[in-house]
Amino acid sequence: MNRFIDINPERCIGCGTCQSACADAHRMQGLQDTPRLALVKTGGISAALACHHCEGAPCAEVCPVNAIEHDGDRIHVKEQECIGCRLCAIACPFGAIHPDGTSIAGVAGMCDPTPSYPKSLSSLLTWAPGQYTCAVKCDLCAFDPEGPHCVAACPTKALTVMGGAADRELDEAKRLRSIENGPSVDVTAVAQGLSEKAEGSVNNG
Amino acid sequence: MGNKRVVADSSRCIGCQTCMAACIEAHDIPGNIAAPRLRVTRTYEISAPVACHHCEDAPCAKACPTGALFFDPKNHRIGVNEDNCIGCKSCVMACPFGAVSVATTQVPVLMGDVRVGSQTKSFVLKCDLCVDRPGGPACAEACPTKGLTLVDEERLAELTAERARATIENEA
Repeated sequence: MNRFIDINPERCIGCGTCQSACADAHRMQGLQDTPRLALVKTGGISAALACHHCEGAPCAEVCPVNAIEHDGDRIHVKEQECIGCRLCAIACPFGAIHPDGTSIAGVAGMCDPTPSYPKSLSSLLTWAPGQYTCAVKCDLCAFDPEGPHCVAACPTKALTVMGGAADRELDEAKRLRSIENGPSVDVTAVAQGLSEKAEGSVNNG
Repeated sequence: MGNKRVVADSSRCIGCQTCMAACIEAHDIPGNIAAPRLRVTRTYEISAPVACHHCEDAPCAKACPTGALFFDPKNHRIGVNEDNCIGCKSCVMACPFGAVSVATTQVPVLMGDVRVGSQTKSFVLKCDLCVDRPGGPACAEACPTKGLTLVDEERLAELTAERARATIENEA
């Protein structure tokens, strides 16, 4: 089972520290420095949303150049191989993968120092002259043996790495709780008693 | 009409896992995956299999983004459509009973009739009440101590009536 980052919305305070930690960690690795978690806020709730690392990942299935691969217990985007076709962003049901690119604004001889094109409302429609687009999503900070930086950075411990052993433990705990709180009345005996009674009344009648 | 479910009686369960074996056998058909949908769980005092409760307001079906788990009022259950499953594990997180799990298998990639490779396919594993099986749930049939019962709305009403009667008898 793949690992993934689980969020507890009750603990999330919407501070965006996870996003900063994510952007920083990937920038230091020379990867796209956009945060891979989306911080979603509604009137009542806030939560960070990251890739579920689906077992049968639709993003990997639609990728025409196999830039998205199953890598051990995660789904990995090879940013160097991505052609920026955005099919993965369309296929993902969670909005956890999105196109992004490094702006070349300010690079000598390339472009104006400040971008003059309007910012698009949707990242799917973003296009900028000269900019290389590639898909960006959570990679579980596989480059760091200490694990995802967002989990370590969250001040309220709202983020946890799930999957693998942690997931099995949680499931086992849930099952134990459900048998301990199970029906205290002998359901089968009651049901059989009723059917015997019904048979008896038929025979007597 | 409410959903049906298989109810386990922990006082009868001897932890033999025959229900799990029957479940595997019932689902060992092409297009499905041979794995148990219910899991015998033990503490020092009791054992009982944990299976899907087919909740009326099922959190797993609500969490599913692709409709692999769906409300199936026709069969009085939470239905499973393995073809749609992408293995995102949202249902696993949402279920409070630990009754849903996700498994993977390798399926061939075909180009026409020619196999050109294989890819990982995920399957959501959850009790489907053996709807396609004429005898009803295989686990309930296989249990040697009759510890598993398929409970429908009628049975539930009988149970409620029985308990109500027991209550007034105790009070009298």
